[in-house]
Amino acid sequence: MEEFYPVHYNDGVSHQFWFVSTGKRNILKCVQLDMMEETEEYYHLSLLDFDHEQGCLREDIVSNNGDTNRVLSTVAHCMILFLHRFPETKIIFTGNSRSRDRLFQIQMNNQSNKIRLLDVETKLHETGSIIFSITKRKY
Amino acid sequence: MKSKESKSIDLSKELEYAMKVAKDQPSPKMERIKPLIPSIIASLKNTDSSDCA
Repeated sequence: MEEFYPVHYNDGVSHQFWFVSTGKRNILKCVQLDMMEETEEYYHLSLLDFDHEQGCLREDIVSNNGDTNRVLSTVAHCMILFLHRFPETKIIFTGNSRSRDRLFQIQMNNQSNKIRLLDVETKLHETGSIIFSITKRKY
Repeated sequence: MKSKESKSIDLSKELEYAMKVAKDQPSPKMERIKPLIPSIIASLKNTDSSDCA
C-alpha cells in the first residue's frame, strides 16, 4: 500500500482527520465524517481542503498536487481508524463528478485489495452518481 | 530563506490553527447532498438496486 500521511484526529460535532498533503505544495486536508441519520449506522465522508484565506473547509478545490495515490491511501487509513472505533457503522461517499466516481472506484478497489481490511460496495443512485459504502471486513 | 525546521514549525502551527478554526464547520459537501440523503439511504438499503462494482 502506498505510504499514507500522518493524521491528526479532531473530535467535535463531526469526526475529523487532518493531514498535510506535501506534493508540489503543502495543502491542509481534512477527512470529515458526519452522521447521516439518527441511527448512527451511516456516516458521510468528505475529503476537504482548508482555505487559509477564507478560514473554511472547501470541496471545490482541484489541487493537482501530484500525490493522489498517497492522499487516497491516507483516506483509506482514516476509514480504517474510524471503523476500528465504530465497527458497526458504514462510511458513505460519492464523487463530485463521473470522472471522480471512476477514479474513486478504481482506487478504492485497489486499496481494499491491498489492505484487506475494508469491504467496498457500490450502488448506483437515481441521479447517476455512484454511492460507495465502506465497512470493516468481517473475518 | 526559511530553514526546513522553521517551515515545519510553521506548518504545524498552520495545522493547529486550521483544526481549531474548522473544528465544528459543516462539510460543504455534506450540506450539498443533504436533500439526497433519504434516497441515498434507500438505495443502500435496497438490495435489489444496481450494484456497479
